[in-house]
Amino acid sequence: MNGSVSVFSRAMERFRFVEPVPPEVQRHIRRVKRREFLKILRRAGAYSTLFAIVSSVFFTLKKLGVSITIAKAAMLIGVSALLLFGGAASSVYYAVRALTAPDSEIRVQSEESGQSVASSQALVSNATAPTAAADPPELVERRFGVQGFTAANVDPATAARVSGMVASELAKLKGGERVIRGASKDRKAGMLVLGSVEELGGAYDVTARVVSVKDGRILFYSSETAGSAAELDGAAVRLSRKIAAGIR
Amino acid sequence: MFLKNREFAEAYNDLYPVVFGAVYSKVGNPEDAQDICQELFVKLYEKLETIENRRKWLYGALRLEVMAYYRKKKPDGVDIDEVFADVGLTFVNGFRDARIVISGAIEHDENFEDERERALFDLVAVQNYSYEEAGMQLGMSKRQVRYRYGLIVERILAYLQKQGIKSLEDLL
Repeated sequence: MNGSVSVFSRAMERFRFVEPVPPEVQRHIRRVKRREFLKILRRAGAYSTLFAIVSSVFFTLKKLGVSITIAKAAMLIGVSALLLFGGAASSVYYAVRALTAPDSEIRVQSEESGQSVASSQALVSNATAPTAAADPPELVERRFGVQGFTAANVDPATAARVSGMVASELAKLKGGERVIRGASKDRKAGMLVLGSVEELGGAYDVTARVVSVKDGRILFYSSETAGSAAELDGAAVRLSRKIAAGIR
Repeated sequence: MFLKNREFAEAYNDLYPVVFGAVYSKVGNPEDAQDICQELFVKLYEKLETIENRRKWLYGALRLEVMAYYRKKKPDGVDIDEVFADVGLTFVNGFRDARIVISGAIEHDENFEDERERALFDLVAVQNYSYEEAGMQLGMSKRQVRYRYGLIVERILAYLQKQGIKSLEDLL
């Protein structure tokens, strides 16, 4: 095929069919093509901003050697605009959500134990879910949300029994309105009671800390020791009294 | 209006470089060629629905515009036949008949699949564009241009054979 093309080119020159356009003029044509198109549309009274954008994409891609039609260029712009709009809308949505959501994460380090309470994020979120009916803010702020205590070297059911005991005792001391157990969708709490039950050489260590939901600050911290499993209830009661005394 | 603009944009993309090159070869000035092309394509837009063969129409209108250009620029007169050296009137090195046959092959519509192929041929064979530059004008890759141009030449050579020119080399 190359041979035929070469012979044909020579014939075109020989019989003076060739009217060469210098390379700089070829480049000039390429440069002014899109601009001239828009001028022509303006002069013909057919100019519109949207079509100008579509045609700009069309001519730019053509210049890059991409085979594209005006319809495809319009579709490309439509899809890009949708993606951009979707991205922007999602960003705004998440930004607004992040700004208006209640404190959703508590990340504090207990000064004494050095234990992170960030893991309680889900519990806190639920306990403070903005679905509460109409509890006055003062009550919510003073309410305890007693979470299940963590178990270390003990049966989780035992730890759950201890945290239940703490919740009941606090309710007795502060009133049922001021205490909720675990997470509640209907009632919010301003303070979380977190704790642990740990067995060490036959004795049990029960610790509790009260954390502010608003700013993650530890408001109160205490611990009690039980000589045996049978004494755990008593330790829970004593700990509850300490909490009740420590937090007005 | 969108549909008309769409059709016009696609025709313009293929025909603008070809028409610009043809006008440039007659007036020898890119700025003047640009102005003449603008006039031509505004007129084409206005008559888009009624014109059947846009390339032929543009070449016809081009002659009138170029003549008007010369009347304005050189009122003392210019030999317009010289500007548009017509194949039927010109002897070139005594090969008038061969030239007419080749011209017929170039103008024969069946040697081109579509208007874009015609534009590609005009750019590469007549206006001396490289494959790469022609691709950038028409929205094709260099490889696509080379391949399609090769096919066009094959078709033209086959046509010439039918017309009795067995080998172009004999004429060179």
